[in-house]
Amino acid sequence: MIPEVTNTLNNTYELDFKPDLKEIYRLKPEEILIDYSGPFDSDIIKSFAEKLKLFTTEDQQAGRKLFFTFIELSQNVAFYSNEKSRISDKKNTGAGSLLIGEKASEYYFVTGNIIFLASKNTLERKIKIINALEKDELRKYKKEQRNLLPGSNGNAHIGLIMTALTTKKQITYEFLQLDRNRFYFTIYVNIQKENIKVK
Amino acid sequence: MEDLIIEGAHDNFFTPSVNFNLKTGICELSGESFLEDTVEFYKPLIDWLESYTTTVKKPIAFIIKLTYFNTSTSRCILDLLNVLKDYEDEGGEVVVNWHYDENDTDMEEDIEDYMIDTGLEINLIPF
Repeated sequence: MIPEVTNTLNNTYELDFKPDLKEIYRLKPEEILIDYSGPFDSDIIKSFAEKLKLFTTEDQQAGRKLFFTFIELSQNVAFYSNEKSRISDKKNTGAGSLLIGEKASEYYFVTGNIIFLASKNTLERKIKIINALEKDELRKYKKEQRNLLPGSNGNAHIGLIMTALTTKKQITYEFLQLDRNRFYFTIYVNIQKENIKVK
Repeated sequence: MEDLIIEGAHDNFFTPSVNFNLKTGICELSGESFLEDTVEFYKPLIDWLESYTTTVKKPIAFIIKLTYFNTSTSRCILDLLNVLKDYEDEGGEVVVNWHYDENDTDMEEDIEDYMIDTGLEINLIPF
């Protein structure tokens, strides 16, 4: 369930304030396996993706879904976050925050990153389309989008569509306004376990 | 024209293994695919297939054994399959075998979507 978070131009966060992902999605600290903020370069994405595999060895189907969606959404942070981190003399990558957690019946992760108003509008439009579509319509939309020319970074325009198809859920997201032109964008992905542990 | 061989790796990224054999026409793509520059990686594969289908013109058996690929890769796979479909439409002999984990229903559906999208017959081979 998405918590109610309302912000308007008259009630903005200070420039350097970053919302707490745990607070936004009312997550319990004891569920959190990884809590990270910083650059989303390939080393980090790959190393967390490998850790996800280790967390989910007992449930391969859930593990596969988590791994797939995690890489897609982490790459989105790397490519589209408007907060950049320098990772070498010649290269910057997007920065953001990440939580990975586990509940008795599901695995989840949350990503958060800063985006500008123009990106927010584009992103929100796309998510609303995705969330309004049934599965067959989503598969059709995937095919249409994948046939477009690849975007910058070689992206295939279907990361969010595949997230919805893979999780079989609408995309859970929030935009928190930081100032006139900047938003803190978060996505929450949860994957139901098939083999639920009895505790 | 020579064989195209790339050894798969798990370094900063997941690089798939590529083995396109000029003599046999057996072209295999396997492993996991999550790359720094996906388009740059797959361009030589597309070029190789285009060259094979316009100069060598022998049968092709295209075999995919990818256990994971990201969405950038999925667009490049579409480009590869489209080259094969064009070849088939021009009279070339093409067989596509796609091996996938039988429990991976997401991949199974994606392969079905590739078939609809390209019009190419793909043999689904669960393991």
